Amino acid sequence: MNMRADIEQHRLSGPTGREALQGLRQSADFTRLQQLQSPADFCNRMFLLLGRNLAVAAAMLPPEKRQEGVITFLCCRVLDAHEDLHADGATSARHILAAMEYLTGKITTPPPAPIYEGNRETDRLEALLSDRLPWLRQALEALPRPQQTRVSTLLTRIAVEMANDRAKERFGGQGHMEGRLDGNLAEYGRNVLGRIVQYSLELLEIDIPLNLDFKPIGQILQILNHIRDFAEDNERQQQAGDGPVIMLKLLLELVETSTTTPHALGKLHFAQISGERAAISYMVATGVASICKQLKVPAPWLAAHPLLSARAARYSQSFFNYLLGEIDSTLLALVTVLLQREAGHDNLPVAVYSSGGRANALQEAFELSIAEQHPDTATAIRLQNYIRLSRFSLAILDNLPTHRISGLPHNHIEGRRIMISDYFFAAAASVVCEIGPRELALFSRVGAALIEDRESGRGIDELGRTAAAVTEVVLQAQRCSAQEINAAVERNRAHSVALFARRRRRNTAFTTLIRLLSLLPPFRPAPPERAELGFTFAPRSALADE
Amino acid sequence: MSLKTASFEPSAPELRDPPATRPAPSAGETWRLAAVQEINRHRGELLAPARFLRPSLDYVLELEGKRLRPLLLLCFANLGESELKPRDNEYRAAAAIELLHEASLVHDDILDNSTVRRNRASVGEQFNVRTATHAGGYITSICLATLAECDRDIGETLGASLKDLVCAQLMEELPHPSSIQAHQQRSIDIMAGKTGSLFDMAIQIGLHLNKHNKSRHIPVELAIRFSRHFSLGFQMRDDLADLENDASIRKPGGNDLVQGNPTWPFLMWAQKKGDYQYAWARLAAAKGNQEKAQQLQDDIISTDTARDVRNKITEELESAKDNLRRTPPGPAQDFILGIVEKLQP
Repeated sequence: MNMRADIEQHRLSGPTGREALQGLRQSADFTRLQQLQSPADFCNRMFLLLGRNLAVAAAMLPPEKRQEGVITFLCCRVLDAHEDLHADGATSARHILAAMEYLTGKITTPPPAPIYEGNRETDRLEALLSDRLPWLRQALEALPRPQQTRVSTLLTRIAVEMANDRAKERFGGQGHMEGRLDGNLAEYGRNVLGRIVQYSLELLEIDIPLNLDFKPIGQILQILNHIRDFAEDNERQQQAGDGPVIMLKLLLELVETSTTTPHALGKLHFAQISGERAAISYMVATGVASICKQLKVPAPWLAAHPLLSARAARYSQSFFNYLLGEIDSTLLALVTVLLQREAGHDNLPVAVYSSGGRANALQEAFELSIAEQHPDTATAIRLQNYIRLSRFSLAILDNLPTHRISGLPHNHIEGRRIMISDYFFAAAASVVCEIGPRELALFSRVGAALIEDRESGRGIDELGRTAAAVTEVVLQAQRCSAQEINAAVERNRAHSVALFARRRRRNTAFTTLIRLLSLLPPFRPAPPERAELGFTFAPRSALADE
Repeated sequence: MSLKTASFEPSAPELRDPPATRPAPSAGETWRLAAVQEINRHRGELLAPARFLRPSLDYVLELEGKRLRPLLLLCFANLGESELKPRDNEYRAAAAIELLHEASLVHDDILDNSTVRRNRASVGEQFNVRTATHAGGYITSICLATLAECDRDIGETLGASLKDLVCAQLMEELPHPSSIQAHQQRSIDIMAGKTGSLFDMAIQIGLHLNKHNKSRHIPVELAIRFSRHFSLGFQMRDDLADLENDASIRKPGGNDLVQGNPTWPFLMWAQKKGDYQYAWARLAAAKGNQEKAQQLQDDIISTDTARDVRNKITEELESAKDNLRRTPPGPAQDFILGIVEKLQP
């Protein structure tokens, strides 16, 4: 049982691609797991069973990156076990911290493993994993020093956040979900899962541009986790509180958060042929497919074929961008449809929301690239969020009916559609509020002008107003002279107008190929016995389980 | 127009349409009339730059109303002053808050299928859904810009308050919860979001302006508590007026029941009945059915529910007054107390 030798020989680097794919359909054999005497075999098996889709994605990476990822993932799952499997918040908080301190070498005795007597497979696996904590510590100590430090830093940060979250229950007296819905869902998502996402990008040695924010991915994972728990509680009729309202709030939060993610991912730099890009594509595709599955909405073709997407993205950045564009439209359509469905409108055509303003992707990309140049990175991120939210808000209002209210069918969806647009608008305003009152005033006036343009029959930002305003804000922050600002504003406005006129010529090669492929009989592995959640590199939140 | 302490008579401001013959207005009423005129002037100015939406915006501008939110804003901006004499930027902010309220109504009418608003066609009915939506969005944008220009600290709460407002509007459309308790809680949340967020906004902006213009620090918690109780009392009053066909709401009475809206009187009646399923079935049957809605309305009125609602309104408004009395005295405080008093059923 020499863990150091295992690490050096890359024995502890997760299953192979084939094993991982087969593992998607396997349930855990607990008797065999308990009998495993080799730490490397045990960890690899646990990674496969708890990671599911992550194990498939990990197999696309070089072995030296994989083994650190496997160890980190399993350590996170131990923290998650202590977070979720103790009924009492104070005990949970104490054991989370103890597990972290033991793993990072601060104490010598591991905390007792949580006791779980239920039937949920992931919880049983986590409890068993927590019982083998010394093996995980050995594995962590066998990593090269810089990697050890990186993992320890991550574990310390997220453990403190998780412990604080559980400890709060003593004071708030609220359950996990309701407490978080009261305001700290986003904060928790960013600080726990968001940190894990950032760590993962560092592990993959992907340069993270400072003016891009990846923590919202953590928020999305956290929201998905809640949606999953919510659906399970609903099935078991154990739902506390006002179920429809909880779901509405989760979906609205998902709407707001998901708008920025595809853009940020599209800005990552990869090698020409990249296993990392393939792995991320696989995770993105399976993630979207799992959202669709959970919410009972058909998944887009590419998301339903994650291996194909990953394979193509390995060799082509253009394909990766195309995939993100598809996901982008799908997220908007998905959430919008769901919000309609919550109100009992099941027959909404998805296409209404995925067309319109989203066709102006080139223009939007130009605006975003200007925003990225803001010298303050926090403001750069906020400006990008504003642009995305504002455009979505306008896109939703495409093709509004020109009937009077009395001419609408009784159970029409237009009012709700308008409200969803209003929510995006308010979210955009909320983001700009954080930049400052001057910017709020400027962008609000731009918004008013854009709406008038729509009324006059113009397309979304046909006159390049957003690009001009963003240029003004960025250059003022860069302390440029009035003359320079004016010149740049006019130049960028003209360029934006030209981009609007060009629109995005959809990548016809990809579009045609995917249309042809979608005509073929579906090629996909037999459905897993249990529903899969794509994003799995996280404690509990996005796990492949029921 | 100013109102000094000495000349102020604490008579309640007139919140309803004035009768054909009426006695000479009190000083408070005179101030209110002048303030409303000024607010209306600023409303027009704020929307003046519009071109393509001109007809629909003019139609919105013609809309009469109590101007309760802007009046509250002006009063909170002048709490503690010996003279109620708002500044120009306070009037601009007040006009913006009123327009923000009106914009929310334009969109809300489309959501609710309401063809009538304040005794005339709603904007979506007068023009069309597309134009009404654009008009509402345009007004909201202009109001945000105006408020951000009025005071640098105002912006902080605007986005969050708007989100609360929209979220509450969406909550109204959700499937119903399974218990009367959850239903009551949801109704309170909807009231807090739909009615309360705009009152909160008006009052907090007023306080910001008071701090900025007059360097006076009034604990915001007091104002928020006032706002919560006031808006709850106000919404219940509105629900009661709808139930009793009170002309002051200037739209057809019994509208809430025909819309299938579980208003406060309905929820209290349902609780009294003790049979949530039965009560709910009655409301579901009333939705879109004038006759059944009328029967349900009669049933609710025939019980003591209206009295219970009145008691609850009084309780909320008294709590609002208690909090208000802890703010610096003066004509602004007296005026607000008058507004609260006027809401007593």
